Amino acid sequence: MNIIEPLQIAIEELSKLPTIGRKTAQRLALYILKSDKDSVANLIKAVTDLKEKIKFCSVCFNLSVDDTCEVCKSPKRDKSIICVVEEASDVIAIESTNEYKGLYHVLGGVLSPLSGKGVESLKIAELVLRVNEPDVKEIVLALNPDTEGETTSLYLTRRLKPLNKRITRLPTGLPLGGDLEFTDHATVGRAILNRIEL
Amino acid sequence: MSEIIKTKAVVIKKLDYGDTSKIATFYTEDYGKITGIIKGARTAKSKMGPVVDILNTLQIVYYKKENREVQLISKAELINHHSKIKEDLDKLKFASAVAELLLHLNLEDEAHPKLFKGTVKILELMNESKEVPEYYFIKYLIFFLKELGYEIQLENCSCCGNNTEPGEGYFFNFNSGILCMNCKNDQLISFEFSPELFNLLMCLSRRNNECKYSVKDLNRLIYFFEKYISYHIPEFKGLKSLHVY
Repeated sequence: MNIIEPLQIAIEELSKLPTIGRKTAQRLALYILKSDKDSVANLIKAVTDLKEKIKFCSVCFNLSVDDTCEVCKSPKRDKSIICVVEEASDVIAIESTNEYKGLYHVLGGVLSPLSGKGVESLKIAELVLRVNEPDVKEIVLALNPDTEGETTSLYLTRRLKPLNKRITRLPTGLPLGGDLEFTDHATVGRAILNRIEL
Repeated sequence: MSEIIKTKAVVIKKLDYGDTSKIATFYTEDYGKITGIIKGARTAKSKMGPVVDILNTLQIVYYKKENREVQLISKAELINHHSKIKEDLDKLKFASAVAELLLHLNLEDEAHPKLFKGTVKILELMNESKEVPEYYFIKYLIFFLKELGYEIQLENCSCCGNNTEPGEGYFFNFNSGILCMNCKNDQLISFEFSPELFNLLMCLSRRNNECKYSVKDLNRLIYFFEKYISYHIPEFKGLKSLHVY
């Protein structure tokens, strides 16, 4: 099919984005083409700013505009608790609950023996340095409850235990609105083990 | 042409795909290694999502299409999630190495029910047993190489054919095999077995046998097997799982 070159290039670039197939990319490119100049300029600015202005926090490796992120800078946050997460998107998920007031540490992934992703590729040494600070009293491991997340939690527990700080992890079990009958036995088993007193 | 397949499987790899889906590699009982997509697996409501996790043994159902590289998984039920493996960092390391062997040294769509049963069995043993995981991993390596056609003959010297004796040290050439003291000068030596190490390897290669071991010797044997596989399968670059932490 003969598509004029600038449109063809735009479709190819857009289709490189995750979950965007060629047809969706074509639809987006045509939408941008039909939009007014200001909207397109705003979109370009937003994308450029994303790359130029956002960096990683030098303390917790969360996304940040400055050298230190808003969470680390805030005097209202509880500096005695560090919540360890896999990616910056997990910080957004926990922040949206409004239940957690401590600090974060973004590992930048999890240990993955099958992919060869090891300790050096994660921000584990930086975490150990932070946990060594006398102000820190508790570390919350908030990693996904899958094999790779569990591997990372076990490894971090092994590394952090000698520092004599309280180490906790998010409990696993039944989801809200879930149905016991249709839940797999591994999850039900975990829920029984992690039962709470009322 | 498509058909509905129901088979047992071990999950040997998984990765996130798109916003909510997962793509997993399964080692199945009836169809060997297959890759499948589980749509919506990462949403909270997905029943299959939590079940399709690395090292889990499952019963899966999928629509098999010959010309499709990634099959559509329509059902996955948990058979065993090996909870004790997932609570122990060392067991996890060696169980992951089992999955890595299947992932990298096994062709897609090549059924091998015996290898499947052996894999399920070794994961169960690693899960339940109090033995160190290295012990079962070597037993699995011996079995795996045999099933793939790379069995190591330990009973005779590969050069003179004399029977090997317990309590003797032996040498190994990756091309020809075991060499006795008299034949070692005729060939390149790739590995040297002390009498204890050779006895241990002999013992581990027998079925239903309890062996006395030191972890140091077990690790030496794992090193030997890694070198042996690398020699015979050039694309094998060692077991990443064993060097991650």
